[in-house]
Amino acid sequence: MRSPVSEAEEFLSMMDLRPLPEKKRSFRERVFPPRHPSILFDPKKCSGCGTCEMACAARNVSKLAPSSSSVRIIREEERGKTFAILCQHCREPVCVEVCPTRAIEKGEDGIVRIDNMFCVECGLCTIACPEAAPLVEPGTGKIRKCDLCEGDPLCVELCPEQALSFSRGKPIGWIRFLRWPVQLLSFLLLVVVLIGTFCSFRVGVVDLACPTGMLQNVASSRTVVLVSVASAIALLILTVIAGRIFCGWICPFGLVLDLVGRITPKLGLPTFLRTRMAKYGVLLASIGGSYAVGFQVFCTVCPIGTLCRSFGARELFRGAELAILPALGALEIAERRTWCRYFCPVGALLALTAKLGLIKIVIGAPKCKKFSCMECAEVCPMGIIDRDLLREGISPRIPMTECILCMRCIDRCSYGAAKLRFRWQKTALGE
Amino acid sequence: MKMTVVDLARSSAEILPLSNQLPAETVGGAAANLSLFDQYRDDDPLVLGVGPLTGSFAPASCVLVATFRTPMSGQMCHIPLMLQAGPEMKFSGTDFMIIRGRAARPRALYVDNGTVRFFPADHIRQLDIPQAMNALRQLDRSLPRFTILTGPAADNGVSHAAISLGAWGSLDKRGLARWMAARNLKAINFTGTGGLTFGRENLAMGRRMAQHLASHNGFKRQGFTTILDRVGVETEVRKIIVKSKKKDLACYNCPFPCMGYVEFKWRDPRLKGARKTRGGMFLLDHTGFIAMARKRQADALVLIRECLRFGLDPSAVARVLPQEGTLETSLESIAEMARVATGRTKMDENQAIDQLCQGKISLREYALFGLGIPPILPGGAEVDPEFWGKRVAMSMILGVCPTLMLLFPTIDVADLLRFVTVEDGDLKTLRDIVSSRVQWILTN
Repeated sequence: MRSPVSEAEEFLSMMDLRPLPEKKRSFRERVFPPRHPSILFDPKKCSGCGTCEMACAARNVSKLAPSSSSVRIIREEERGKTFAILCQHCREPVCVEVCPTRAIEKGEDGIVRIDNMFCVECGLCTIACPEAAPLVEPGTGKIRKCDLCEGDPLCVELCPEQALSFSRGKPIGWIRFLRWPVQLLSFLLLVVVLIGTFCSFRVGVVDLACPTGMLQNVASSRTVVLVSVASAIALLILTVIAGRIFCGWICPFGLVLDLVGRITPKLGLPTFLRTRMAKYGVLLASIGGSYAVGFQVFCTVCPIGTLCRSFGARELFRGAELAILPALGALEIAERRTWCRYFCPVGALLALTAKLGLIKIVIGAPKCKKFSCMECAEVCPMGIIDRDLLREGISPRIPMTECILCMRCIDRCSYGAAKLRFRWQKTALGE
Repeated sequence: MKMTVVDLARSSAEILPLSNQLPAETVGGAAANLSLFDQYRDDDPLVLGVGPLTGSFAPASCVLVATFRTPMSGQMCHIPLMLQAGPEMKFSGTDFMIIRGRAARPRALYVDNGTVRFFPADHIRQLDIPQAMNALRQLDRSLPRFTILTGPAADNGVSHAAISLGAWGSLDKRGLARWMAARNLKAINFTGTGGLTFGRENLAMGRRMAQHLASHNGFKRQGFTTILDRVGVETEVRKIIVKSKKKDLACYNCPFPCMGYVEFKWRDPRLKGARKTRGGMFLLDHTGFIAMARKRQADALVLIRECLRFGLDPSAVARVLPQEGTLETSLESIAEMARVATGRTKMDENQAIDQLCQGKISLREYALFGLGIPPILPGGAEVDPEFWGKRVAMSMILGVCPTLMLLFPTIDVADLLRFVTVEDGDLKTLRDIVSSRVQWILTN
C-alpha cells in the first residue's frame, strides 16, 4: 500500500501542467545549435538618453512611463558610465527554472517570454536573474521582461546612438567542418604516409623535426647539429605565426584525444594535479633526463611519436611502448585534453613560443553575453575561458600560451563576440 | 495637470489641480512659471515647471525650468535644469512645484507618485556633492532617479555657489543654490513612476525628427566639442576636450549628445608623495569650461572638478582665480572660496560674458536665462539680434532643450507643437500664444 506522502507527491507532479523543458540536448541541437536572438548593448556608444526606456514603455503600456519599461538605463554619475539592464534571453534561463508557476518560458525561437496570466508577481525571477532583467513595475508590482518585441525590437530601432543592436544569433559555424578534415588529413600524413617518426622526418627534400625531440637530442648527445636545429625551427615559426595551431589542428594524438574525449564521461582532476605549470616541469625533466642518461628519455614514451611509429600491423603489436596511448587516452576521463593541458612537453615548448605569437583570440565585451551564454567556456577543450569571470559579467582574456587555436569558441559564439585578431590590435570590438 | 505647493516652514505640501486656464494662456514651462510666480510673489517662491513637450517623444524634451528671483540682483531668472530633470518631475505626478517659506532645519524633499515627503538633511550639510549624493541615496530605500542638490559652498552662503544635478554640475550661475540654501532646502529628489499618454503619430514624428537631427550635415556630432566649435573657442581650449574625452552623454531623449565624460591624469599636490592617478568628471557646463580653460589651460579639468565637488560655479571661480599660480594654491583657493563668501564684481562678470557673446546677445537676455546656456548663433551675415533670446524662451516654454534649439535653427515651433496638437487651427492658436509669451518673458 502506498503512503499518503507518495500519493501527494504523485498528485503534485501531476499538477505540474507546465513542466520544465528537458535540458538534454538532442543530437540535432548539438550538431546544429539553435539560434539565440538577443539585443546587444554597447556601453561605449550609449549616451544615456533613455530613448529605449521610452520606446519600450510605449509598446508595453502605451504610455511614456520609463518605470513600466522592460529595459532600464543605469547612469553611473561618478564614473560617467551607462549600463542597460535588459533580458539576455539566456540559453538556459534561471528565471524559467525558479518560476513556481512556470509563467516564464523559452520559446522555440529562443525568446524568453513571461505569460502574465500565470505570473503571480512573486518576484523570484528578479532575484534569480544574474542580470536582474525582469523588472518590477513600481505601483502595480507587475513583472516586465523583454520579449524582443517578437523579433522586431522598438528600442533598437529608436536608439539614436545605435548602442543597441538586434542579433538573431549567428548561424552554424563552419570552422569545425574545416578543422576535422584537417586533423584527419594530418593524422594520415604523419602516421601513415610519413616515413620515420615524428621526432625527425622528411617531407620531400625538407627535414623536419620535433623541437622537444631536438632539445633532448642536443642534451643527450651534448652536441649541437645545426641541420637538426634548423629542422626543428619550422614548427616554432609556425607557432609564432599562428599560435599553437599544431596542437589544435595537426597533432595526431590531439585527434585521438578529441575522439576519445567525445565518448568518455568527465570526472574531473584532483586539484593538486590541476597545474598548467606541470608541463614545463615535464619538459625540463625530459631535457635533464636525456642529458643524464644519454638518450632521448621522453621520446621513448612520447604519444605522438608512438603513434607515428605504430603504423603497420607489425608495429601495432610492438608491446609495452604502445601502452602509453590508452594510458594517456584514459586521462580524458578527467578533463578534456588533460594531457595537453597539464603534461605535454611538446605543448609546453610551443606555449613558450606562442608568447611571441602574432595572433590572438579575443572575446569582445560589447557583444559577449557572458553569464547568459558561456558556450565558449563549454566548448573550449583546454578550459582556458574563465567561467567565473563570465558569471561576474566580465569577458575573459584568453591566454594564447594555453590556447590551441581550435577556434571552437569562435565557431560556437552565437553573437560574433569571439574573434581572431592580430596581437597588436587593441581588442576585438572597440572595448 | 497638477501643481504642488510646498511650504518649507510648515513642512507641508498641497497638491492642487491646475486650472485649464494656465496652460491655455501660457502653454507651460517658463511662461507658466512666471504666471505662478506672480500669484505667490509675496512669498518670493521658487517655481519649478515643465513644458507641454517635456517627457514626450519630441527630441531633447528634458527641460525643467526653475524660475526665481535671483539673490544676486533681485531680477527674475529662468534656469534650465536638464538631463532627466523635467521628465522625472512630470512622471512623479506634478507639473509645477511652488516652493515657499523657510525650513527651520535643512530638509530634503522626495517627490514620488504625487506625494511629497520631507526628510531631515542636517547630516548632509557641508558634505561635498558625491558624498551628499551617497547620503541621500541611503535616506530612502527606493532610489531617487533624479536629484537636485546644493553643496558646501551654498551651505556657507557663497555667492558663486551652484546647484548640482546629481553629481553632474549644472547651468546654475544666478544663485539658485543660494536661494535653496537660504531656505534650508538641501535637495529635491524625484522618482518618476507615473506615465504620460501620447498621440498616435508622436512616435513616428519623434523618430523622423531624431533621424533628421542625427544626420544633420551642417556640422559633425562631436559631443561636447560640437558646442565649443559653434561658440567659437580657441584651438588650445578645444584640444583639452579632444584629448581627454571618454564618452558622449545626452539628456532625456536627445539624439544629439552635447555633454561628455572626460578623464585626465593628475597628481594631487596637496598629498605629499602622491602618485599620478586617473580622475574623471561629467561636463555639461560649456560656458564654465570655456571660462576656466581660457584662464588656466593646463589645470582646467582638475579645477572644474574641484568646483563641482564643492558646488561652485566654474565660470565665477575662473573670474576670481589668478591666471598665474600653482595647482596647489588654486585648489586651496577653491576650497577657501567654498568656505568663505567672497564678492563677485559685476564688471568682471560683464566683461567675461561680453567676451563670450561677442556683443551679439544682450547681456540682460543672457542673464535672464541664467548665464549658462551656450551663446550659439546661426551662421550667415544677417542674424536677428533677438534670435538667441527668442529661441531660448521658446524652448523654455515648450520644455525642450534650448541648446538643441540653438544648434538647429531650422526646427520650427510648429514642428514641435505637432506633438501636442493635431488640428491645424489649434496649432495656429498655440503658435500665436507661444510667440506672445516669448515676448512676455523677455520683457518681464
